[in-house]
Amino acid sequence: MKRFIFVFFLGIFYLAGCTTANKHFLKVDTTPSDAIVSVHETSDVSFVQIRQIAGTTPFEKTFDFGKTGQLWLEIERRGYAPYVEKVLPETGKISINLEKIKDKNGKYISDYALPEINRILLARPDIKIIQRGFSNEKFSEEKSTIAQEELIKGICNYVSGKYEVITVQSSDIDKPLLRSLWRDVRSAMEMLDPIRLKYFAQPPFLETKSSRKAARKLGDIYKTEVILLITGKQNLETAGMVVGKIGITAAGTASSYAGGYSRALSRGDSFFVYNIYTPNFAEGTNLNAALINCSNGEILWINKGLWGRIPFEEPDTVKNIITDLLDGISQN
Amino acid sequence: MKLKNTILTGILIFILTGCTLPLKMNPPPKLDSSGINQHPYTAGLFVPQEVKEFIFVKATSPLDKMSYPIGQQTYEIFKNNIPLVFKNVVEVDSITTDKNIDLIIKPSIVKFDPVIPYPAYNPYTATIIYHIDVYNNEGEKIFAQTATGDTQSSKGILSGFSARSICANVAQMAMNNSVKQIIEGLSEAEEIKNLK
Repeated sequence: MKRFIFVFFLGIFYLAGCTTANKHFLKVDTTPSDAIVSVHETSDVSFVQIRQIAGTTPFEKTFDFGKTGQLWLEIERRGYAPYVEKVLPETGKISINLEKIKDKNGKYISDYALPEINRILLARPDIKIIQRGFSNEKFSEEKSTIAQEELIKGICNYVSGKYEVITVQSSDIDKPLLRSLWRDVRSAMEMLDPIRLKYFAQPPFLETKSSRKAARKLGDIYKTEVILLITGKQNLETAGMVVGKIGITAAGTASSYAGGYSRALSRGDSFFVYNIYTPNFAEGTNLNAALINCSNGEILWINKGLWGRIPFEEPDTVKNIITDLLDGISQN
Repeated sequence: MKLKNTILTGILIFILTGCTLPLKMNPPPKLDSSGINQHPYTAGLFVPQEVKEFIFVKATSPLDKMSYPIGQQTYEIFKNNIPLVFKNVVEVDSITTDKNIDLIIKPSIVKFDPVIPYPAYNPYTATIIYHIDVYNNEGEKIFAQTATGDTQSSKGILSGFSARSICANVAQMAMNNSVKQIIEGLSEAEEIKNLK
């Protein structure tokens, strides 16, 4: 019996040991400071599906070293070579001198900063409103146009007093330029990490010469320093779909109730349990925004977000969304 | 009893095999060529073997998965549509320095991200990012482009049995969208217009 108790406690002790996190304090500093630090569990930092950001230097925090007892910190700062440092639970403190790098023309890359902006060129937002039913969906041109107009108004109001906003007229000259620009911007919006963008060692540029040239031409035509592009979509559910979903969930709840009640009756139980199903509405809005330097095609800033259903006819709601989406521009 | 067990086992194997078979995708279409300027060059299309053989597998449950034959479709959609931008197109198996070929196009798949919704009445979406590198006949890279194609569909979701065909259609729509942008980009590329 004593032996059994001993083994039992040994088991508990062992299991408790397994669940204890391997957490240790680490102080991270770089010269210069304000470098972003990502945490990796392997030395291969090139492929990351979910990036874990620890913070910007200098900082001190507790890291979970996990079962392997080692982590790799990836340190990035604009104008400096990326640096990867292996850290162990006993490391305690690291201090890294970052190495300044040059661009392809042999000039040192300067710190991240927005250019001096007086006028912003705003491309007509490419937002699509999709109305979804149970068996089909359709693009609502009318609602999309309203959304575009309200976004333009909201953006003008948001930056008024700080910048002048000029909207692209979509003339025959503008259209091919915008088409070229959109091609590169969409991929940048999809692939670039908005949080790390200003810490990338080298500034990201529009990929093709034709889109960089398009940005420059548009900037020249409209006398603007930067161009702001917004894209997104909103899914709305048709009344039929909403009613159908409520009906399905009500029927599911009724069926669960009836089943539980009849089982309780047959077993002679004095209680029964049943499930209440609530409808799940898949209505949401996805917006992406990018700010491009007209003079050289540099991607200055990117942001993206998901919101619920946005009633574009309500200016206050649109204002809140725009404040949320464009917040980073005014911070930089 | 023996016969019953055999039939049940057969059905189970049939279902499980069915679940692992790649999605059936229609042959990729020839895209709309309006507004596309054709370059008077002979282009070599080099689709690496690993791209051709790429199959994207998405587990939808412990027993079921969707296998998208993305590589084969990519190969075919480029083979069908690169001739829209170049006068002659020949397939090559490397970045050769053949003087009869003016330039070589090498496509790659950067990302493929399909969403199979649960519950099934939410939209099916897919995003594909293609990248192309273009080399001159001396093996020097002269142009690169990345294009994102994304799309969604709710068509036919009332019937949960059509999930495989919806997944295939949505993936194809995303590919068409991305390749159309690649074709437009190649058509407008100054680096290619000014090729010596």
